[in-house]
Amino acid sequence: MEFHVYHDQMVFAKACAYILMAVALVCAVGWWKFLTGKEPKEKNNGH
Amino acid sequence: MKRRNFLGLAGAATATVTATALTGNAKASGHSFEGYPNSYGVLFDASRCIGCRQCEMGCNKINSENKSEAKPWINLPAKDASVFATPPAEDTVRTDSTMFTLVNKFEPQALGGKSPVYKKFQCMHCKEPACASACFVKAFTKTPEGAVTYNGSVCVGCRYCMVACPWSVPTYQFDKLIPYVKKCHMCHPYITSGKAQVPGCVGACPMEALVWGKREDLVKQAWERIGAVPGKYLPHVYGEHEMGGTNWLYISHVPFAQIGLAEDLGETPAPELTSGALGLVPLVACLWPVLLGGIWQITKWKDRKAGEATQQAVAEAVALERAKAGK
Amino acid sequence: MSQHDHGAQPVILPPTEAWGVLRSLLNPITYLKFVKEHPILSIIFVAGLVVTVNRFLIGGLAGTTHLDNNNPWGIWISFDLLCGVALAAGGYTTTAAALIFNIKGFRTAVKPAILTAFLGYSFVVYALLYDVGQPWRLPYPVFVSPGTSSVLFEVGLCVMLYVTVLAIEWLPNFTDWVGMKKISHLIHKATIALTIMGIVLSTMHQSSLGMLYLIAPSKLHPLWYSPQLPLQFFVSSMVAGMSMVIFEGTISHHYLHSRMSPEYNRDHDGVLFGFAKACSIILFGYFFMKWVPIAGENKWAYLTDGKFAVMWWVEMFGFVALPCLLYAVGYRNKSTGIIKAAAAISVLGIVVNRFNVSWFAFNIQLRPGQHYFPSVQEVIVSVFVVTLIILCFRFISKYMAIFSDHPAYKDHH
Repeated sequence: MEFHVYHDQMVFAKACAYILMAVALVCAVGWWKFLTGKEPKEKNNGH
Repeated sequence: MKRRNFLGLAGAATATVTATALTGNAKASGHSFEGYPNSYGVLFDASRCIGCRQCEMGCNKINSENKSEAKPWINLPAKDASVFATPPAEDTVRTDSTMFTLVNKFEPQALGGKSPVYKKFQCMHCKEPACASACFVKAFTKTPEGAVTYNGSVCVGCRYCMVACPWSVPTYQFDKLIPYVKKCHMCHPYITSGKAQVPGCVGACPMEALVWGKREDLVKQAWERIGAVPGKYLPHVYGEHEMGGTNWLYISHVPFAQIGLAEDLGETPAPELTSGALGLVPLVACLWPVLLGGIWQITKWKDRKAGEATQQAVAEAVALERAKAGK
Repeated sequence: MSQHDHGAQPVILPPTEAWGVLRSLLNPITYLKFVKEHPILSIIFVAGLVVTVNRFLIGGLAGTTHLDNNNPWGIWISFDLLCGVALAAGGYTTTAAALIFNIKGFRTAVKPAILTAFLGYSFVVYALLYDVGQPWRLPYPVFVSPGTSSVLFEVGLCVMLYVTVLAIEWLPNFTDWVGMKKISHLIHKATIALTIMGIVLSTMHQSSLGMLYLIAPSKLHPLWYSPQLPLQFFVSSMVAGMSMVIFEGTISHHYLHSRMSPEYNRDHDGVLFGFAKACSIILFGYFFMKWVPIAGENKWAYLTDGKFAVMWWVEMFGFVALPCLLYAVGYRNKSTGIIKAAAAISVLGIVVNRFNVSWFAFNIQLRPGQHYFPSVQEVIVSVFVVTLIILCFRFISKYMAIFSDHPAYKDHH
């Protein structure tokens, strides 16, 4: 992708960064549930 | 408490190091940004301007004919020549939302403080505009033709562009209930539609103080003019490198600071001023959950161990008492 | 003042009566009674309403503010946005201490801190409706045309997400009160996730508010402009948050004592001492941090140059070094009085710093006649916003279990 102006590259690159962050967040939830899936549940409310 | 602060400060230290590393690497890929080829600009020659303000008239005229302007612009002379009389030389009246450009009169020290030098103020049409970089709704665009244009249909009116612009160019319609930003657009809509060959100001100038052309050609022309009459001009083309370069260029026979052109702006393009710091944001988003999650797990584990130790101690004490009672 | 354990459990109305209280908000008599009991607050309220009508329907920004093309940002940014966000930082610092670092004795400080933060951020957004030219377009950066190169985009996105997180974190106070137990339970299950998200988002936008000014190096005085400005804003936000929690706790103790449970009162001094120690350490680091760009960028000459130098020294010694020392002395001698004084000075210090960066040391290239000073109406709006925060805080604390545990959780602690 050819950008003539640094600003245009920045808009594109930062947009990718924000999207990646959102993807990471979603994946993190799933990964956490997987990692702690077989842990025994706590007896009280846990908070 | 100490632990948290240590981690907080350690995190901060890491962030600083990373920031310093990142800030220098805005173009780490090796790609350098030359801007659009064949983009156009304007060269202003301060030694040719006589302060007739025909450029202001030309700008008003061409924009008044624009049907999309809600109200036709007032025609000159709404301000008469007395606008030049009262203020001291460095006192500049600036544009407001009813005009895209204006000419100021200076009486520079370099000429003894008596002779006037005039300078036209309008958008510099930067190669890497600060307004475009700052705008959180992408209302500004650096067009391939060279002009920096404004799209009011997404503008929220946050006015960060006005903060960001090194020359404080954008104006705002503070008096309107549905306000917009107003800024010179180098007559981009008129030129691209074929209605005009050159911007309204350039076409109106009787002294050829304003010259339209491709930016590369204008830079060359500027240096040629400087070289042709040694000692007349300052050996500097203002806008060649300032803030990464602008499409509106100035040459002058008196120091630029004395005609209201700031000389302390540096050559770093505006986007690079924030790109490195913004690069830290995804890092925080990735690392903080790891650190915080880790700390939480550790404190939970420690609490559990402490709880187990207490339970153990209690059980042993009870067993001991029972044994004693049993005896 | 020694630790005290007194106080009966405050009365929390059962859900049916809670709805009655909410219904009374629709009854004009409630407001007439309010005007009679609180004449001064009512005057502020009316003044605020008048300015609001002027701002949106009559004079616009020109008829309401002293903003102009040289000074596009005024106190609605310097105070309502920058100070408002910094002082609402108690939400993430307190939840970090209580829930992530699991420090005993901070549990009861969480709900008041979240309330302060939730109201603080909500009213930052409210104040922005006044400042921005077309406030109905505020969703545009996220939903219509994201300008991802902009620091302000990041601030806006983060604040939007964080207000949502805070609203969710605060919601159980409301749902407990009106008897919607299932919602409370659901939210409690996500506590740690919400807390971590809150800390991440806070770090990002607190530092980004400083990042905003990086784009204008020619306009901010060298003693404040530095690539480390975002880091400075983030570090000082931690002090701002903790100091504000202490400050708000002190005021609440005076006016809302009847709403405080024995557990809250018992923990109160411990929170003070814990935060005092933390603030003293952070301010110590911050003090030296502010010297780093001076040394690193060879800005020594500015330290003795005119009024900006004076402003810098006053900020550094009067509002960083002094509270750092006072917090330390207060902690060492277990003096809640000194700690409260340190908190007040710290809160003021944050305001001084944000005002310096965004107003007093900003736009230095302007000549004296071009400088900005707020209009009376701008000040009225800022006072109005703070008043609204106080009124909401009072209403919520008066009825909901903010300084106590809700009776429904009696068995859980």
